Amino acid sequence: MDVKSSKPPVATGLPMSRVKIIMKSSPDVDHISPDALFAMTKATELFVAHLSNETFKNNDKKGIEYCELANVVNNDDIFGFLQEVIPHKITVREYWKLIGKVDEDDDSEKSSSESE
Amino acid sequence: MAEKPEDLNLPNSVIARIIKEALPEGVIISKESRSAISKAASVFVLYCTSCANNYALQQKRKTLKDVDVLAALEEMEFENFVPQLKQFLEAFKLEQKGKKTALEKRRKAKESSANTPELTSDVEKADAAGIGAEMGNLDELLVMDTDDGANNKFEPINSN
Repeated sequence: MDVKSSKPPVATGLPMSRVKIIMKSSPDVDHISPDALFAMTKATELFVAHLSNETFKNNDKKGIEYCELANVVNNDDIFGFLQEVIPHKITVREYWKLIGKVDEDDDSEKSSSESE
Repeated sequence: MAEKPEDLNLPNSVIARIIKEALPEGVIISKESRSAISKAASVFVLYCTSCANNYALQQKRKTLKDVDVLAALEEMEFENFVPQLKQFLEAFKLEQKGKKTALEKRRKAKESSANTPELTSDVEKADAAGIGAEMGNLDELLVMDTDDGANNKFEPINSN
Protein backbone atom coordinates (compact mmCIF):
# COMPACT_ATOMS: atom_id res chain seq x y z
CA MET A 1 0.00 0.00 0.00
CA ASP A 2 2.87 2.29 0.78
CA VAL A 3 4.11 2.02 -2.79
CA LYS A 4 0.97 3.62 -4.12
CA SER A 5 0.68 6.18 -1.38
CA SER A 6 0.85 9.02 -3.88
CA LYS A 7 -2.56 8.03 -5.20
CA PRO A 8 -5.18 6.50 -2.95
CA PRO A 9 -5.83 3.15 -4.60
CA VAL A 10 -9.21 2.57 -3.07
CA ALA A 11 -11.06 5.62 -4.35
CA THR A 12 -12.97 4.86 -7.54
CA GLY A 13 -13.55 7.54 -10.14
CA LEU A 14 -16.70 5.95 -11.45
CA PRO A 15 -19.70 5.93 -9.13
CA MET A 16 -20.16 2.46 -7.67
CA SER A 17 -23.90 3.09 -7.32
CA ARG A 18 -24.25 3.55 -11.05
CA VAL A 19 -22.19 0.47 -11.80
CA LYS A 20 -24.44 -1.45 -9.43
CA ILE A 21 -27.55 -0.24 -11.28
CA ILE A 22 -26.06 -1.45 -14.55
CA MET A 23 -25.12 -4.81 -13.03
CA LYS A 24 -28.56 -5.24 -11.52
CA SER A 25 -30.20 -4.52 -14.85
CA SER A 26 -28.92 -7.93 -15.89
CA PRO A 27 -31.95 -10.14 -15.24
CA ASP A 28 -30.41 -13.10 -13.44
CA VAL A 29 -28.20 -11.27 -10.97
CA ASP A 30 -29.44 -11.51 -7.42
CA HIS A 31 -26.85 -10.28 -4.99
CA ILE A 32 -23.60 -8.50 -5.52
CA SER A 33 -20.97 -8.48 -2.82
CA PRO A 34 -19.24 -5.15 -2.14
CA ASP A 35 -15.93 -6.67 -3.22
CA ALA A 36 -17.39 -7.71 -6.56
CA LEU A 37 -18.88 -4.26 -7.08
CA PHE A 38 -15.56 -2.64 -6.33
CA ALA A 39 -13.73 -5.03 -8.63
CA MET A 40 -16.18 -4.34 -11.43
CA THR A 41 -15.91 -0.57 -11.03
CA LYS A 42 -12.13 -0.70 -11.08
CA ALA A 43 -12.14 -3.13 -14.00
CA THR A 44 -14.34 -0.72 -15.95
CA GLU A 45 -11.91 2.09 -15.29
CA LEU A 46 -9.05 -0.08 -16.49
CA PHE A 47 -11.08 -1.04 -19.53
CA VAL A 48 -11.76 2.57 -20.49
CA ALA A 49 -8.08 3.39 -20.13
CA HIS A 50 -7.12 0.29 -22.14
CA LEU A 51 -9.54 0.99 -24.96
CA SER A 52 -8.43 4.59 -25.34
CA ASN A 53 -4.78 3.58 -25.15
CA GLU A 54 -5.21 0.93 -27.82
CA THR A 55 -6.96 3.42 -30.07
CA PHE A 56 -4.23 5.98 -29.53
CA LYS A 57 -1.49 3.48 -30.25
CA ASN A 58 -3.04 2.42 -33.51
CA ASN A 59 -3.12 5.82 -35.13
CA ASP A 60 -0.49 8.45 -35.63
CA LYS A 61 -2.73 11.46 -35.32
CA LYS A 62 -2.95 13.70 -32.32
CA GLY A 63 -6.49 12.85 -31.41
CA ILE A 64 -8.96 10.02 -31.15
CA GLU A 65 -11.65 9.98 -33.78
CA TYR A 66 -14.61 7.69 -33.97
CA CYS A 67 -13.45 5.87 -37.07
CA GLU A 68 -10.17 4.88 -35.43
CA LEU A 69 -12.07 3.64 -32.43
CA ALA A 70 -14.28 1.58 -34.72
CA ASN A 71 -11.19 0.22 -36.45
CA VAL A 72 -9.69 -0.96 -33.18
CA VAL A 73 -12.94 -2.47 -31.98
CA ASN A 74 -13.51 -4.34 -35.22
CA ASN A 75 -9.93 -5.53 -35.63
CA ASP A 76 -9.09 -6.63 -32.12
CA ASP A 77 -10.72 -9.85 -31.01
CA ILE A 78 -10.95 -8.98 -27.34
CA PHE A 79 -13.24 -6.06 -28.20
CA GLY A 80 -15.47 -8.35 -30.20
CA PHE A 81 -18.38 -7.84 -27.86
CA LEU A 82 -18.39 -4.15 -28.80
CA GLN A 83 -18.82 -4.63 -32.52
CA GLU A 84 -22.49 -3.77 -32.36
CA VAL A 85 -21.94 -0.87 -30.00
CA ILE A 86 -19.18 0.79 -31.99
CA PRO A 87 -19.70 -0.25 -35.64
CA HIS A 88 -17.92 1.19 -38.62
CA LYS A 89 -19.56 4.27 -40.02
CA ILE A 90 -21.23 3.69 -43.34
CA THR A 91 -22.67 6.08 -45.86
CA VAL A 92 -26.38 6.26 -46.58
CA ARG A 93 -25.69 4.82 -50.02
CA GLU A 94 -23.97 1.82 -48.44
CA TYR A 95 -26.82 1.51 -45.99
CA TRP A 96 -29.42 1.37 -48.74
CA LYS A 97 -27.28 -1.14 -50.56
CA LEU A 98 -27.18 -3.25 -47.43
CA ILE A 99 -30.94 -3.01 -47.02
CA GLY A 100 -31.49 -3.75 -50.69
CA LYS A 101 -29.18 -6.70 -50.51
CA VAL A 102 -31.04 -8.10 -47.54
CA ASP A 103 -34.34 -7.50 -49.33
CA GLU A 104 -33.06 -9.38 -52.32
CA ASP A 105 -32.27 -12.25 -50.02
CA ASP A 106 -36.05 -12.31 -49.41
CA ASP A 107 -35.56 -12.20 -45.68
CA SER A 108 -38.03 -9.53 -44.63
CA GLU A 109 -37.50 -10.11 -40.93
CA LYS A 110 -33.80 -9.54 -41.25
CA SER A 111 -34.30 -6.34 -43.18
CA SER A 112 -36.58 -4.91 -40.50
CA SER A 113 -34.07 -5.70 -37.80
CA GLU A 114 -31.25 -4.22 -39.87
CA SER A 115 -33.13 -0.98 -40.45
CA GLU A 116 -33.70 -0.41 -36.76
CA MET B 1 -33.13 -0.38 -10.31
CA ALA B 2 -32.85 1.37 -13.60
CA GLU B 3 -35.92 3.48 -14.20
CA LYS B 4 -34.65 5.68 -16.99
CA PRO B 5 -32.47 4.55 -19.88
CA GLU B 6 -29.97 7.27 -18.89
CA ASP B 7 -29.41 5.38 -15.66
CA LEU B 8 -27.48 2.81 -17.62
CA ASN B 9 -24.97 5.36 -18.82
CA LEU B 10 -21.85 6.19 -16.90
CA PRO B 11 -21.16 9.85 -16.10
CA ASN B 12 -19.46 11.45 -19.09
CA SER B 13 -17.24 13.73 -17.05
CA VAL B 14 -15.67 10.82 -15.20
CA ILE B 15 -15.15 8.87 -18.42
CA ALA B 16 -13.52 11.92 -19.98
CA ARG B 17 -11.20 12.23 -17.00
CA ILE B 18 -10.17 8.58 -17.11
CA ILE B 19 -9.44 8.81 -20.83
CA LYS B 20 -7.45 11.99 -20.30
CA GLU B 21 -5.40 10.38 -17.55
CA ALA B 22 -4.72 7.32 -19.69
CA LEU B 23 -3.40 9.24 -22.66
CA PRO B 24 -0.40 11.52 -22.95
CA GLU B 25 -1.10 15.21 -22.62
CA GLY B 26 -2.42 17.17 -25.54
CA VAL B 27 -4.40 14.35 -27.11
CA ILE B 28 -7.78 15.47 -28.31
CA ILE B 29 -10.73 13.14 -27.99
CA SER B 30 -13.68 13.84 -30.21
CA LYS B 31 -17.07 14.08 -28.54
CA GLU B 32 -18.31 11.20 -30.66
CA SER B 33 -15.58 8.84 -29.58
CA ARG B 34 -15.97 9.87 -25.95
CA SER B 35 -19.65 8.96 -25.91
CA ALA B 36 -18.84 5.76 -27.81
CA ILE B 37 -16.26 4.81 -25.18
CA SER B 38 -18.78 5.60 -22.45
CA LYS B 39 -21.32 3.31 -24.07
CA ALA B 40 -18.64 0.68 -24.50
CA ALA B 41 -17.91 0.88 -20.78
CA SER B 42 -21.57 0.27 -19.97
CA VAL B 43 -21.65 -2.71 -22.26
CA PHE B 44 -18.42 -3.95 -20.75
CA VAL B 45 -20.03 -3.89 -17.29
CA LEU B 46 -23.03 -5.82 -18.57
CA TYR B 47 -20.95 -8.39 -20.43
CA CYS B 48 -18.59 -8.87 -17.53
CA THR B 49 -21.53 -9.16 -15.13
CA SER B 50 -23.14 -11.89 -17.17
CA CYS B 51 -19.83 -13.77 -17.46
CA ALA B 52 -19.27 -13.42 -13.72
CA ASN B 53 -22.80 -14.53 -13.02
CA ASN B 54 -22.33 -17.64 -15.14
CA TYR B 55 -19.21 -18.43 -13.19
CA ALA B 56 -21.02 -17.90 -9.88
CA LEU B 57 -23.85 -20.19 -11.01
CA GLN B 58 -21.28 -22.85 -11.92
CA GLN B 59 -20.01 -22.65 -8.36
CA LYS B 60 -23.64 -22.84 -7.17
CA ARG B 61 -23.61 -19.44 -5.59
CA LYS B 62 -26.22 -16.74 -5.94
CA THR B 63 -24.05 -13.86 -4.80
CA LEU B 64 -21.50 -12.36 -7.13
CA LYS B 65 -18.08 -12.28 -5.51
CA ASP B 66 -14.81 -10.68 -6.47
CA VAL B 67 -13.43 -14.05 -7.63
CA ASP B 68 -16.28 -14.26 -10.14
CA VAL B 69 -15.36 -10.89 -11.58
CA LEU B 70 -11.71 -11.92 -11.85
CA ALA B 71 -12.68 -15.19 -13.52
CA ALA B 72 -14.97 -13.32 -15.91
CA LEU B 73 -12.14 -10.98 -16.86
CA GLU B 74 -9.93 -13.93 -17.61
CA GLU B 75 -12.64 -15.45 -19.74
CA MET B 76 -13.03 -12.18 -21.63
CA GLU B 77 -9.27 -12.18 -22.30
CA PHE B 78 -8.71 -9.12 -20.16
CA GLU B 79 -6.41 -11.13 -17.92
CA ASN B 80 -3.85 -8.32 -17.99
CA PHE B 81 -6.19 -6.40 -15.67
CA VAL B 82 -6.18 -9.14 -13.08
CA PRO B 83 -2.90 -8.51 -11.22
CA GLN B 84 -3.61 -4.79 -10.94
CA LEU B 85 -7.15 -5.47 -9.86
CA LYS B 86 -5.94 -7.88 -7.20
CA GLN B 87 -3.79 -5.15 -5.71
CA PHE B 88 -6.73 -2.75 -5.69
CA LEU B 89 -8.90 -5.40 -4.10
CA GLU B 90 -6.37 -6.06 -1.37
CA ALA B 91 -6.25 -2.37 -0.53
CA PHE B 92 -10.02 -2.18 -0.63
CA LYS B 93 -10.45 -5.16 1.68
CA LEU B 94 -7.90 -3.73 4.08
CA GLU B 95 -9.77 -0.46 4.15
CA GLN B 96 -13.09 -2.18 4.67
CA LYS B 97 -11.56 -4.14 7.52
CA GLY B 98 -10.16 -0.95 8.99
CA LYS B 99 -13.56 0.67 8.75
CA LYS B 100 -15.18 -2.30 10.41
CA THR B 101 -12.76 -2.36 13.30
CA ALA B 102 -13.08 1.40 13.66
CA LEU B 103 -16.84 1.02 13.77
CA GLU B 104 -16.58 -1.75 16.35
CA LYS B 105 -14.21 0.34 18.41
CA ARG B 106 -16.58 3.25 18.27
CA ARG B 107 -19.50 1.03 19.21
CA LYS B 108 -17.53 -0.43 22.09
CA ALA B 109 -16.54 3.06 23.20
CA LYS B 110 -20.17 4.07 23.01
CA GLU B 111 -21.25 1.06 25.02
CA SER B 112 -18.62 1.63 27.64
CA SER B 113 -19.49 5.30 27.81
CA ALA B 114 -23.13 4.30 28.20
CA ASN B 115 -22.11 1.97 31.01
CA THR B 116 -19.83 4.36 32.85
CA PRO B 117 -22.53 6.85 33.90
CA GLU B 118 -24.37 4.04 35.66
CA LEU B 119 -21.16 2.97 37.27
CA THR B 120 -20.31 6.45 38.42
CA SER B 121 -23.80 6.97 39.73
CA ASP B 122 -23.54 3.70 41.63
CA VAL B 123 -20.21 4.75 42.99
CA GLU B 124 -21.65 8.07 43.94
CA LYS B 125 -24.56 6.41 45.63
CA ALA B 126 -22.22 4.12 47.49
CA ASP B 127 -20.04 7.04 48.39
CA ALA B 128 -22.99 9.04 49.51
CA ALA B 129 -24.20 6.17 51.63
CA GLY B 130 -20.77 5.78 53.11
CA ILE B 131 -20.53 9.46 53.84
CA GLY B 132 -23.99 9.39 55.36
CA ALA B 133 -22.99 6.50 57.54
CA GLU B 134 -19.89 8.30 58.57
CA MET B 135 -21.87 11.37 59.30
CA GLY B 136 -24.23 9.33 61.39
CA ASN B 137 -21.26 7.96 63.27
CA LEU B 138 -19.90 11.43 63.69
CA ASP B 139 -23.19 12.60 65.11
CA GLU B 140 -23.18 9.76 67.54
CA LEU B 141 -19.61 10.52 68.44
CA LEU B 142 -20.49 14.13 68.94
CA VAL B 143 -23.44 13.17 71.05
CA MET B 144 -21.23 10.88 73.00
CA ASP B 145 -18.75 13.64 73.32
CA THR B 146 -21.36 16.00 74.60
CA ASP B 147 -22.64 13.34 76.93
CA ASP B 148 -19.17 12.70 78.16
CA GLY B 149 -18.25 16.31 78.32
CA ALA B 150 -21.41 17.43 80.03
CA ASN B 151 -19.32 18.99 82.65
CA ASN B 152 -17.08 20.66 80.11
CA LYS B 153 -17.67 24.02 78.67
CA PHE B 154 -18.47 22.60 75.24
CA GLU B 155 -21.89 23.47 74.01
CA PRO B 156 -23.79 20.56 72.42
CA ILE B 157 -23.74 20.85 68.64
CA ASN B 158 -27.35 19.75 68.37
CA SER B 159 -28.47 23.04 69.79
CA ASN B 160 -27.01 24.78 66.78
